[in-house]
Amino acid sequence: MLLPIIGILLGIILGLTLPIHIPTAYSPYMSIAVLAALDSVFGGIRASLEQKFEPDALISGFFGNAFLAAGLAYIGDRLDVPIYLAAIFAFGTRLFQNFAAIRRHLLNRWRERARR
Amino acid sequence: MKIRKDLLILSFMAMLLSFFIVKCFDNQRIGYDIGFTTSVQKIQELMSQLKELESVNRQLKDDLNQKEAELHKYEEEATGRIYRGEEIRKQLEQARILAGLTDLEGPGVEVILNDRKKDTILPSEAYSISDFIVHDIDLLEVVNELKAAGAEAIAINGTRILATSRISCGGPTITVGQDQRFTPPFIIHAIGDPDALADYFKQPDSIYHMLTFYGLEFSIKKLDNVKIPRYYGEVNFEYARPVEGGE
Repeated sequence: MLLPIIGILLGIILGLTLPIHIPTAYSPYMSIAVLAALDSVFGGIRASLEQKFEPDALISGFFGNAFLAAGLAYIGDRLDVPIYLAAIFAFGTRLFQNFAAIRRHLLNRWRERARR
Repeated sequence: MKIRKDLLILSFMAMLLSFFIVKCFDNQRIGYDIGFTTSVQKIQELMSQLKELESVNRQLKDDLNQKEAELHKYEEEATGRIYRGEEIRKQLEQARILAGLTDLEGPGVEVILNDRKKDTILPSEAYSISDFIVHDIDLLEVVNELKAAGAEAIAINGTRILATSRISCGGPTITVGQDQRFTPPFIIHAIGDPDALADYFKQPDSIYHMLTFYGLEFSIKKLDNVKIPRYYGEVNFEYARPVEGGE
């Protein structure tokens, strides 16, 4: 449990210190990509709790989804059609489903521990 | 050992994710280049705010006019009762005009100053972009030349220029008067002899030649009737006071 937290902190520290700036013009696509990545991370947590963890599927999903979502948002912007909504709905609903599954898992685990 | 592996990958992903989330916040914090990211919603919100403020402003101006009409009525009543009242009232009116507290109209000129259009700048012109925009000092000099040519009243974008008005740099804007901020184009109205005002800019040392040399827009139009609004704002003298009794 400690390792992911260290990962999050390391990411925050790197983000604050590294002098890389994403051009402001790309920040909308950035947000969609972050949503996709967030979804992948939740999916990963769920998978690891369900003991169905597949590293290659997860990593490819993490990057693939992020790029696809950002690309869709970009194309939607060019075509003046809000395609990014598709990404928001897909990732958003899955995010909540994954979170629900994680919650149930943790609750089950906690209940079992309490029963013992 | 299997759990440790997925934890490792998960934490790596969490690191990347938090890195990008921090970057997203970072962009919002810096906030330059607003034009790209300002949403239509935000713009509409600001526009409705502006409209609201404008209507409040208009209402306040109406109130002010009403109060001043009342004041005029009292003055008129007083003129009849006071010894040499009519003369005093005339002097008061004169002083108001001098102080810029009355709307004025008369023949004059309209000067329009604007930055150089972006697409007219040739790549071979290796000047700084700073040469192509209207600066506070340019505006000040134009106003000064109008004054030198005998302008009796001057307004920039509808803001009356008083003896105490400033024209100073406000970053991307120019601050005029007390705290009015303007962006180009600057429309300067001046009342005076139209020919004298317009011809003053033909003098060889006029700012006109320098600004047009750099390609700035500078147009002078003679008008038969120029309307110049009064000065809206406070006139406060905190330190200066009249000398008692004279010399």
